Amino acid sequence: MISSDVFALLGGAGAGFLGALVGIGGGVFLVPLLDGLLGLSFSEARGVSLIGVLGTSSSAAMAPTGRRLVNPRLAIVLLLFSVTGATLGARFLGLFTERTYEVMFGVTTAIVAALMLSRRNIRNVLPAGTTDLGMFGGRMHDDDQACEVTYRLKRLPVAAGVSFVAGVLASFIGVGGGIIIVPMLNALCGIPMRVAAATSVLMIGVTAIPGVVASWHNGSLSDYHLAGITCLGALAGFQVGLRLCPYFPVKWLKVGMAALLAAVSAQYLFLR
Amino acid sequence: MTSEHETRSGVQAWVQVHLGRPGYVVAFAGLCMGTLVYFAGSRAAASGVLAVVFGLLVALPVVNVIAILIEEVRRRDWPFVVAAVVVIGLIAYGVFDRIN
Repeated sequence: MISSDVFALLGGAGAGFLGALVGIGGGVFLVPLLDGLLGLSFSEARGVSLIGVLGTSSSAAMAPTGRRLVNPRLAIVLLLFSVTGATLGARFLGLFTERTYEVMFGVTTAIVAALMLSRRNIRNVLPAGTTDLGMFGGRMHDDDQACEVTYRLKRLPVAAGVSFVAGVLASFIGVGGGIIIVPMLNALCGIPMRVAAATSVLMIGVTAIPGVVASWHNGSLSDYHLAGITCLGALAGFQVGLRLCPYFPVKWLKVGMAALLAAVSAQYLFLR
Repeated sequence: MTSEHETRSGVQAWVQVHLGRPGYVVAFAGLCMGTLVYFAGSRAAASGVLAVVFGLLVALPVVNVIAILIEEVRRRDWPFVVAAVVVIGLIAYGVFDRIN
């Protein structure tokens, strides 16, 4: 019992740490840990994971105000689609078998890993003098270049469509959706990695709500103690990640995440 | 790092400092308390405490959306006001649909 608590605490801390670094809720890391190592069923792991995602998202409030890079307008527009998807996903949660959800999880992580690796050198920043930033563009200080830069959103319909899918998957497989939203915003829509991550952290908490309520309602969130320990780890891990964030180069964050995702994908697609 | 959004967003900064951070601290304290009560042997009481904390964790992201709504109302940027209202409505629907 104690060892499972320690695993849950460390898993939650890892999820929170990744949340601070790359803007994901950590569900993609928590579900395999809870399901594979602690022996929870996939649906129980999904419920506990979503509580961890809520913890990661709430931790963003502790980020120093001046360092927040959230693009609230982009977040609210994409939330329209992700919350719609999450609500639909929560409504049809019992539609598929556990194995189907596992395959969904494996395929999702494989696609995102490939996307991250193929676009790892994309930075999406424009010179500071750029004036036409569009409705969703912005301006920020880039630590990597040590200068002021700007960015502009591209392909809003793609961002909206992928956000909808991320919402459905949030309810189906227990991820907050950040694992899909961050690479999509960065690789396809012209948003710098750190802005995509900060915006995603705001979005994942909201997107997770329908899935959490559905898991609560259908009884798959029954182990409050394990969920509490996992969430406690996520809150602490986020604070550590927040302090180390400026020391991690964006390119290597992408490579590390892609490697982790490829391993998780192989576990769900081939090792079961 | 600073961004243009941050300097324009006084309401969100206020919400972060006055609601988000206290909410985070209360959630952290509640999780610690629930875990300690569980290890002390009172599982029913621990579940009660943790259920309240989970409810708080569900409420905190909604507070962020409400902050964006207030900010957009202040700027009179009506398309984004409508978007924020719809998001809040969708969350409410998602919650009450499952409860009922």
